[in-house]
Amino acid sequence: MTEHVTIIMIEDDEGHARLIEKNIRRAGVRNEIVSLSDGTSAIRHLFGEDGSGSEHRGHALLILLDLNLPDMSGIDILKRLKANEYLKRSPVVVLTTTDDQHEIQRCYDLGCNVYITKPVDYESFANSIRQLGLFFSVIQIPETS
Amino acid sequence: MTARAPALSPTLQPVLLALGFALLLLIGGTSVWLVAQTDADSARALQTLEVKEKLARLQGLVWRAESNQRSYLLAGDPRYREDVQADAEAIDAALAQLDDALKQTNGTTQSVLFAELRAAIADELSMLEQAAGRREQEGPLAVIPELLERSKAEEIRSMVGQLVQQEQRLLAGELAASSRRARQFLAASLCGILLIFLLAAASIIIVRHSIRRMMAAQKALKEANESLEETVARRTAELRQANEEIQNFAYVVSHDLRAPLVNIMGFTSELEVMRKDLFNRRGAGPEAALRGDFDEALSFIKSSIARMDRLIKAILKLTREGRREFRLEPIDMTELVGSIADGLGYQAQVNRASITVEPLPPFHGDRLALEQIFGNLLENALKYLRDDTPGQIRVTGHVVPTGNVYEVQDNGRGIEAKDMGRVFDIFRRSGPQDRPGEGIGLTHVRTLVRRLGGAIDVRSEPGRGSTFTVTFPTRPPATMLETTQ
Ligand SMILES: Nc1ncnc2c1ncn2[C@@H]1O[C@H](COP(=O)(O)OP(=O)(O)OP(=O)(O)O)[C@@H](O)[C@H]1O
Ligand SMILES: [Mg+2]
Repeated sequence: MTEHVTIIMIEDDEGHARLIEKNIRRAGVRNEIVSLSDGTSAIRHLFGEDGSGSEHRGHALLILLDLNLPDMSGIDILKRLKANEYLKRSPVVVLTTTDDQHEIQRCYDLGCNVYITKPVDYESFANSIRQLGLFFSVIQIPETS
Repeated sequence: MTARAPALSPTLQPVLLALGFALLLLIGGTSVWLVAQTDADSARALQTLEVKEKLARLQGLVWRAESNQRSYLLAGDPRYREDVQADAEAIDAALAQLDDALKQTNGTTQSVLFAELRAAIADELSMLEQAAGRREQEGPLAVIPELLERSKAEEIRSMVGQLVQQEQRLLAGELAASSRRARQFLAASLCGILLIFLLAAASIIIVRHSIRRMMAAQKALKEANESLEETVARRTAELRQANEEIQNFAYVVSHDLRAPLVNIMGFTSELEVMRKDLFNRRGAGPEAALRGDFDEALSFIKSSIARMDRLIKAILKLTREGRREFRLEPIDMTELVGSIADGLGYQAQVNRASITVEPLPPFHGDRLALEQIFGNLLENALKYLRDDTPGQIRVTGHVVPTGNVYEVQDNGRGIEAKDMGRVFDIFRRSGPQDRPGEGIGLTHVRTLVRRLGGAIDVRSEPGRGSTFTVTFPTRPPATMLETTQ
């Protein structure tokens, strides 16, 4: 993944955010990571003050999204992302504790690209994040139009 | 209405009825008596008439005797004398008859007057006899003035008149008394009739009253029935809602518990990494002991977290099962249990155990739930065998009037009596803790069996084996039909 891709991490649990970041770095990913801890600030950052998302025009974004946010459901953010003409092509990785089959299906239906359940077992947790990092390094991410 | 109820209670009815009957008897008796009385009265009047007629005849006879005598005295024809004698005999007979008749009408009271009459008649007759004797000796004219002088004809006439009058008075008195009595009885009867009418009215009121009460009770019952159905439906809905809430709660809680657990585990592991860096650099020495302590603490934390994770996962699984919608379909149970047993074949071989599945009655249920139920029971049967005995596991089934019964029987280590109820509780296990497991298998089984409307029970002899019995009703419960349609 080229250096100019920005990783936007929407995660309310600081601990999780920290662990995710650590493990992404361990996989050798050097990209900028913007950490947002609630739905409102995530919406503001992604879609800008005017809500159009035009601020990110020409940037390459990769979005890590937790579904259980204190102020809104990650599903709503996912819906808005996929409905936005600038952001709809940015890959979304849902990273959450929910392993409910319905929820997973729903996310894929809404256009999520990868769905990862955070395992409690740290070995597998670290592993999945690192693999995700490796995955980042090989995937092509389009710039926002 | 309620205040009047005790006074007009239907228990009074028999009493009223008895009273009515008594009154009717009284009235009937009175009528019979009245008829008898009328008969007696007319008989009595007849008797009086008879007496009067007899008295008149007597009077006539006396007069005839006197006139015959006079004729004899005047004419001296012996034929008249014979007539007088015949008359005297007739008078005697008439007197005797009259005596009888008088005795019938009034017993003894009149006998004085009658006796006087008798005496007077006897005198008159003897006087006539004497006069006749003297006529024969002294000639016709000598006798007549004396005869006229001594005649008692006038007395006799008055006595007969008195007797007639007395008899008449007696009759009148008796008839008056009788009619007075009759009037009294009639009055009593009329009162009785009135009372009967009152009783009938009271009865009608009571009957109508109790009918009204019965109808009210019926109405209340009907309403209660209707509202009962409503209540049951409402309660069922409430229960279902409460159940859903609990499941939701368990689901959310267990879910949210995992997030902090990820952190605890994650940073514990980070600590472990740091520890390696720290202690490796410092080398051996007193730190070696510290490193041991550090390792021990870390491993306790990690194993606890792992266990907690397993428990939370178990709860999640349970709640998820509770939320899953069942699809009811006819299921060949022999085949279903048979394929579970086949799947456990390897495990059975390792445990030197045999699993026998006998022909089982088919059932209308949810395939996945039934697979999990019998899968868990068979797994347990395999897991809790005795090491020293080859295991024998049998699955049997039969139909009873109320539903199907399936049994999973083993000859394993068994369950102690005190644990029989507990083993179905979540996280509860029994016997030596030498087999892997969390103690949720049977909880899960029980939840599923209940959702299918059935019941599960266990019989066991410690050290000899256990039998788990699952009973399903033929008809699935209404609540489940609702959720599946
Ligand atoms: N067939 C059996 N014979 C003897 N004991 C049994 C049998 N089945 C269950 N038990 C006892 O009941 C306990 C509870 O069983 P349950 O299936 O709920 O949990 P588990 O088997 O211990 O764990 P898991 O959650 O993996 O099933 C077991 O620990 C065991 O002590
Ligand atoms: Mg078990």
